[in-house]
Amino acid sequence: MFEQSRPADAPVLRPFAFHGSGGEYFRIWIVNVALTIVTLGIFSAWAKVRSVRYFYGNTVLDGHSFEYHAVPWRILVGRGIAIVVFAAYSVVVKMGPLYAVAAVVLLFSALPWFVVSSLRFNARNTSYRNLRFNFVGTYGGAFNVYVLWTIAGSISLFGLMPLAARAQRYFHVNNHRFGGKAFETQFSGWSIYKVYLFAFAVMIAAVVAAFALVGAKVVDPSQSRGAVLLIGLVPLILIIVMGAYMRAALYLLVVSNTTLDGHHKFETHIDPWEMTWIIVSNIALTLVTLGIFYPWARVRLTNYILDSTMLFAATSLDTFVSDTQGTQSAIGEEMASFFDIDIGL
Amino acid sequence: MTERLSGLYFLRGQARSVPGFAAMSGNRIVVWDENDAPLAEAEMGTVRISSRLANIPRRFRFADGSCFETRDNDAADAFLSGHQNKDGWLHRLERSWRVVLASVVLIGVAGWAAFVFGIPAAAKWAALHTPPDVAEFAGEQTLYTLNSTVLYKTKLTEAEQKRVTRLFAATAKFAQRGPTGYHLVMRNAPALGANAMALPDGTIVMTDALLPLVKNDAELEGVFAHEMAHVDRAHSLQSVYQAAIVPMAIAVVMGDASQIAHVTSVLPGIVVQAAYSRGMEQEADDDAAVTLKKMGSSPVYLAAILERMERKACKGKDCPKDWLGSHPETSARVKRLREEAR
Repeated sequence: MFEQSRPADAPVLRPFAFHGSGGEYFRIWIVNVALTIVTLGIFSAWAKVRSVRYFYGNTVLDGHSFEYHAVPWRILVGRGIAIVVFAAYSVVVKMGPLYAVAAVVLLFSALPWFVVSSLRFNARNTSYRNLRFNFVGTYGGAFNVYVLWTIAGSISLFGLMPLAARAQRYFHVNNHRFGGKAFETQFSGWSIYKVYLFAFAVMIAAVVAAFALVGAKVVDPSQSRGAVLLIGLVPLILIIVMGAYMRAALYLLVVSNTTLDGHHKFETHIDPWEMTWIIVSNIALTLVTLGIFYPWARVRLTNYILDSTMLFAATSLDTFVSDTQGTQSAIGEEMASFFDIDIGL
Repeated sequence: MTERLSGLYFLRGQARSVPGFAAMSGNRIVVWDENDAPLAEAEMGTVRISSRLANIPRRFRFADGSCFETRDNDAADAFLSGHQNKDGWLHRLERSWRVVLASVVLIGVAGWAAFVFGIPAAAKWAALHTPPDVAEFAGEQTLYTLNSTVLYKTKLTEAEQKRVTRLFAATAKFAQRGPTGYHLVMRNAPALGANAMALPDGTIVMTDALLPLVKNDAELEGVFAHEMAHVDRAHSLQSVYQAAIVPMAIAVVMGDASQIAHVTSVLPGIVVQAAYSRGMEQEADDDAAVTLKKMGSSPVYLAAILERMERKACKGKDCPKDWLGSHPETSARVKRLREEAR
């Protein structure tokens, strides 16, 4: 009894865990794909819900799993809207320069709406311990980070891109709510610049090395087809590897600087290069097996990420309560998200 | 029979849960805590029960927002037998190895059919229905890019240029689009060797190195007839559409837009594209044979120049089977053309 006594407010380590398996997910996935083909794509909305339910339902924190509640019909409608918008855009953009400009402007002004709708839909359809998440980002906020910051990043010749990426992650994380409590992430501009600069330096070094090899006639593209293949394939592999590395490094940066309600702190021990290896070998194995390995690849990556991630809970997680308690019925909560759509961003 | 399900009961809007049991009593579901004190009770029809999916927890959601959660899926299935069990058929499909195997076969066959018939047919349709000004724009852009990378001003003499132009016009007269349907561009291109290519707008680019390789006029006419056939069938646009459709189709079927799905859909696109170009070369050969016969010439000349181009390209090196098989083996094409000459 004595040794178990500790201050009530000491943070308690709550690891995440994933209980799914590749073989189990394979059967769900393969049936999903077959039904999607048979229904000419219609079933893809149901397939998505089943996949997400499988991954959320097997994600466990403090003995409780997550749940995904989305109604497939709404995803189907959302996909329909996205297809119509994209088709209209591709036609109008070819009708002449003035139409093209108008189409681009319209698409860019619709983009924030799509982003916010999609994030809100997914948040409100996700629950943990019978409490739903929420997303409170606005159109204006999304316009700021996805349109204005992207333009700033482009006209600065990518010099401001890392800050644009940070603004987008802030928007994404800091507008999420659980039980009315806010998630918050914050990290220095330099820490995200380091990730981008490293990736940039590796790419530059590779280009310089390629020129040096060709210049020194070590490899000669005009002499052998193998050299042409090498010069074509190496940049592609490099882009895949560095893309995977950046994804891992940014995950580490964002999650290890995120808190919930100011005092529950997230922590992750992922090794960016180990995660890069998992992503790249997943891609290779999926290609070699003509797609059959894909379900194992998804499970393997999810397993790695969740096994390395934990929450330092300042208080018991039992204390969360719904922010809408007493003001809205359960039905009302669902009606509020009726017009949200998911476009699979 | 009253099965008892053990699980957790969540009050509405609270993260806190209490261990409890659920049981059916007539048409009603009742939940008790461990001391047999009642927690909730409702008519079966008003409770929303999540469908079975592998072994993720099942949730019974009551109209007031409270929820009973159980991990005992098999007991829950027995509990619900004869009552609402929406989507239960999906779980039964996923559990059956026979269905899983049938799915693999179905996906294999459907994928094969889509790549061999569906996608080329769709791309061909789109290519032939592309407005002419779009094709023209695409052609101009391609030529502009080629001009600024691998193509240089021709080094052929005036007399040589005149001869080439004359043969080009003579062939065009008998090709599908007629004398005004094609446009010849002569360029010096050391990187491309002896070569000719067709652009979407009817422009046909011939490299200087081709001319010394031809032994007579009929051979050059053969090459032109082949390239004109590529133009007639809008092969270059068809390739563009095919390159766009393949990754899109894979992404939709794979069911998500994650990085794995993205990369694994782009790479097969490149390989598949190479296979498609094989079919297009054969189509162009067949059309060229028809044009050449109409001119009073013969497909054997096209066969002869093809053979020589291949020998020249592989000179001094072991000539591997073509790179990713992007061109049908020349010997097969030559054989086919010679048969058509008969």
